[in-house]
Amino acid sequence: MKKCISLLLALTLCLSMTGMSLAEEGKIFEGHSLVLTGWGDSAEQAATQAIVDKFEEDTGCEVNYMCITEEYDTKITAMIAAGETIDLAAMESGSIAYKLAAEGHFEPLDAYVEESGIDLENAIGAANYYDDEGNLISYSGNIELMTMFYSKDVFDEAGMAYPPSDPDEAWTWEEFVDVAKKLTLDANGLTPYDEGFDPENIVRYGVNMGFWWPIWGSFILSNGGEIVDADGNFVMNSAESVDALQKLADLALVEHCMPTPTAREGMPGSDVALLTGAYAMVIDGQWLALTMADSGVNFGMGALPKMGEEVVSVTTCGMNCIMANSTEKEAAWALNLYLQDPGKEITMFANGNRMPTDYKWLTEPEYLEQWAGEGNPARPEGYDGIIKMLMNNSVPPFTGTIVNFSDMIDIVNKEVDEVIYGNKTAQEGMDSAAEQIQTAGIELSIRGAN
Amino acid sequence: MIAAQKKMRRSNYGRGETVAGWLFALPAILGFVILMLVPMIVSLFLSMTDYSAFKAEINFIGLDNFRTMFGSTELYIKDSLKATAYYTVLNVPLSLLVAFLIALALNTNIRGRGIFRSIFYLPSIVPAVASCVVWLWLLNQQYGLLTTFIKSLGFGTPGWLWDKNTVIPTIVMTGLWGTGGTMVIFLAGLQGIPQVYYEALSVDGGNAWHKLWHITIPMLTPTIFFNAIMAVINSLQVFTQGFIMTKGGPGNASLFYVYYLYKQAFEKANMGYACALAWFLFVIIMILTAIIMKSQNKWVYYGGD
Repeated sequence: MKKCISLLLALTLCLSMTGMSLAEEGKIFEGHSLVLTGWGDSAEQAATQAIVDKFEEDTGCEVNYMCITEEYDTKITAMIAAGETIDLAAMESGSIAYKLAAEGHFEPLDAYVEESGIDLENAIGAANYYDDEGNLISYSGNIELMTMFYSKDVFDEAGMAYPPSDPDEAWTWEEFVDVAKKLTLDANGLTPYDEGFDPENIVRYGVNMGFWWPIWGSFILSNGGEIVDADGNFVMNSAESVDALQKLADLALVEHCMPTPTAREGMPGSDVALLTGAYAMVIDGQWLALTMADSGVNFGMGALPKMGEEVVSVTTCGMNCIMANSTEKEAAWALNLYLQDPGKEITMFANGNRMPTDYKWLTEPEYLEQWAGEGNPARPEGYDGIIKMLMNNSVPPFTGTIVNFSDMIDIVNKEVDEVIYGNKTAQEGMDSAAEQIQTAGIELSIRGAN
Repeated sequence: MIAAQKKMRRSNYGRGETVAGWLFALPAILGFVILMLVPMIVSLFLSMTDYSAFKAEINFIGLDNFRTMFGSTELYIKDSLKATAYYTVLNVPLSLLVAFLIALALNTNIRGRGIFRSIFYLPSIVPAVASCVVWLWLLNQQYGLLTTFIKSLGFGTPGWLWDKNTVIPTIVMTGLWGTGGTMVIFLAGLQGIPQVYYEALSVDGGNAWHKLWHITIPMLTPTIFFNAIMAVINSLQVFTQGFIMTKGGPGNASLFYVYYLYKQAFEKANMGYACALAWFLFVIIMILTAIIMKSQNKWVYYGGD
């Protein structure tokens, strides 16, 4: 009995000591402080703050989290110019990030990844960004891709089958346009197929999509085209690319199943438009699932239609960079791991905002259940197809793969505008873009091609 | 002895006054030196460097920035100059005319004149950003009040800010709303015209048109002159509407010069180049102002001369 008690006492002592030492060891960044900057709406801000609070509690590190909701690049530029401290920063890959990388503002992260025992092979690689020398400059555990949302109510009412979600069974472009036209209605209830259809008074559009690079990029690649070829030539004026771009513009200009850019200005947000039946389908980023679920839209998700042989969906992903002049790099990296790991904080994944990159989270039922389980309103019918599309049909963001993307895109955007407004044909617009890129002396190449 | 003392006292007094004078003027002088003169000198220096917010060192590159501005690699400056010139040409006469007409109306002996004056002045104290947001709603393609009104007249949906042919006129239109400041100056000018002239003209049998053409406008030319110079300067520096309402679009149709300068400075971090752009605008404004100043001998009538 005595033995028993002493053993128990010893055990208790041991446990409490381990507990103590664990607690002490846990506070590895006691007395440290760092600055985290990022963008995002209130939901994202709240979720990030929750992770930051947890990190502060676990490590003892003080975090000054600055959520900058507007003019992010401008403010970051001003902060850097003024020499203010930033340790860990979200970065927009398409604008200033690579200019900062070229000036050596970002800490290479390869060693950190290795030290943390992270195997990049076990995740969707498109979420990570590398500089011109091939150093990892941004590590993310979440990603977005372009996908399709549709109103189940509109399809049910029209008695039409839902868009396929499996990318292997995706609609061809013709099938997609046909459905979009059948679902487009003018004020008299006529479709673009009917005689007397009034394109000036459309009350429901079959489809809507924003015209930015991941969207037109997805269809150009699906059609067998490219943006920049392996030799660094701008090839958006090639036959396949131009064909894809013209088909997209013609959805509004010729087929009348998508709002013109002017008409789109007056439309409500995608969620409200699906809810009220002003759109039947929307092509947009995966993150929109959060808003859709929030607004109570009865929606489903489908694979993008394919223009050529296969579905292609361009991914996007914000960057998470540790500034090279940070004095708290270890703590910044530790915080980034907290922010990227769905295991630490699942909220932003489960509410529809993000997709994880780790294959474990994308394939194993026990993990899938946590963020894409049945009954989750943000993960509706067809979501398994979206995960399949991410695993099999997605490509990395152009912002990371094309050198000098940010200079190129200014010119391309302006010309794409001309095309979708119908001022120029896709061929004219892209030829003009190619000429301007040459005149401006913008040197393009594929990052890591050499 | 007494005289010497007196002299000293006077000079002490004089010195005291000088010091006091400087002290009173100091806030303004300090403000001007610290907030205007020094930044201007620094920006003139920076316009000859490759200063970037992202680079650690600053290199002196002489006039390279100015060469770049007129070189073939600069794709946007022409668009921005075109948009700004178009805006200025449209905005200056229209805003002067509207302000003048409102001032004329508010100078008559109508009932509730004070209230009308306040109401017409009010928009010019509304912050520009708030005014832009209100206009975005008025012009909304689907629900906008103005859009619905035009549609109900059977004209179809105007493209407003989202059509490259209408974007500049639309922006000018949204600006006319806030022309109250100019109007007040016109109003002050109108009230400075002695009634005797009008009375004399009435005696001679002149009608309202004669009054306007032969008295009001000639007597008001100094005011028109001042307002014209201010309107030209302000128009060339237009920024807010492009920044808030259109982001320079569609295409580059409303990429105003100052907005382009802002983009270079804060989105592309090319601070040195942005300074050069600013100095080029300064020179343009100076030349235009000089031309208008020079022209005043021909058309501005100063009553006293």
